[in-house]
Amino acid sequence: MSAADTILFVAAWLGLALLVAAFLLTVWRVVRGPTLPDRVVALDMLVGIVIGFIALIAIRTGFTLYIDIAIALGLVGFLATVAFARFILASKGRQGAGVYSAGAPLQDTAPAPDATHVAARGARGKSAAKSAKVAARTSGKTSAKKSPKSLPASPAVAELASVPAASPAIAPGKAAEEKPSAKSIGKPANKSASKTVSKSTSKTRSKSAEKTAGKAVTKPGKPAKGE
Amino acid sequence: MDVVFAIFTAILILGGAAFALVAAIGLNRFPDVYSRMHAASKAGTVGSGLLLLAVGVHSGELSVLARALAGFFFFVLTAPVSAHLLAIAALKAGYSMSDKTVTNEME
Repeated sequence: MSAADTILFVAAWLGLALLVAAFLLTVWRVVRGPTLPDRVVALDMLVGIVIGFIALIAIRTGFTLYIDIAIALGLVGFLATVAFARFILASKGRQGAGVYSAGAPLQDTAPAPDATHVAARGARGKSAAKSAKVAARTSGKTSAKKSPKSLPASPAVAELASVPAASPAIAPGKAAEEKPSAKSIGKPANKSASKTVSKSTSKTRSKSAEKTAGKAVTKPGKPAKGE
Repeated sequence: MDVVFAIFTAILILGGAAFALVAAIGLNRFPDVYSRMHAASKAGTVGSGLLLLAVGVHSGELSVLARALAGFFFFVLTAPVSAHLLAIAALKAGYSMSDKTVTNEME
């Protein structure tokens, strides 16, 4: 084994190790990705990593024909991504609550304006979660009707309306879980709620903060429904 | 001369694999779809493209190198197209951005 062969051998093994790590991380995103586009992006990335694998195998075995296979795989991956994009576009009307309200929150740190994600998470695992999910699935329209009713009750809505908005998909779930708390929480509760939200800007996400935010903050997201 | 080619190939291999790993890390660390696309479509493409170039350099034949370059060119051409299509689809379907998003030009 000459020096060149040794260098190539070591480099190929190291490259394979790195690619395996990248592959596993990407698979993790496919499994966990909270939304469909997340998974599609990860699948696209997966194709790229497999192309890398094929290239390394071509170097190790010496069959340069593998390059053509890699190019063909890249073409297939591109077409698959385009098809997925069309699918996402086509399913936009009925994407419903399954994507967001049932899914995990979008990010690891939850800053203040994002009341919706906090709310969704806070409600999960409680008794309200079940009814919220069911309501979100079954009644997109009824919740849309309900939301304007409870709107005028909350003074905090006006200031928080400009908040970077919740996706329409979230709104039904929120509206549904709002029902129980809407009556019990008066104006002062709302103010305190907005305070707790602003507190949670700092990356602390103690569970108690989440809970209070989850209860009270559901309102601000609502105007987004109207968009 | 052999050693020089081998070292060059090794650099390409390690660079490509490192780009792929960085892309995968970015895919897991970024907060929302729209930012994850940056990692996947830029670093990911360069990663697989460098590995293809490594095959071309390693073989030492011009035809193989040309095919590898064609593949790299093809990936560089298609990655932004697919990423853009996906971003537009996700945006029109109403998937929300992260709260850390500073501005949304599409509103």
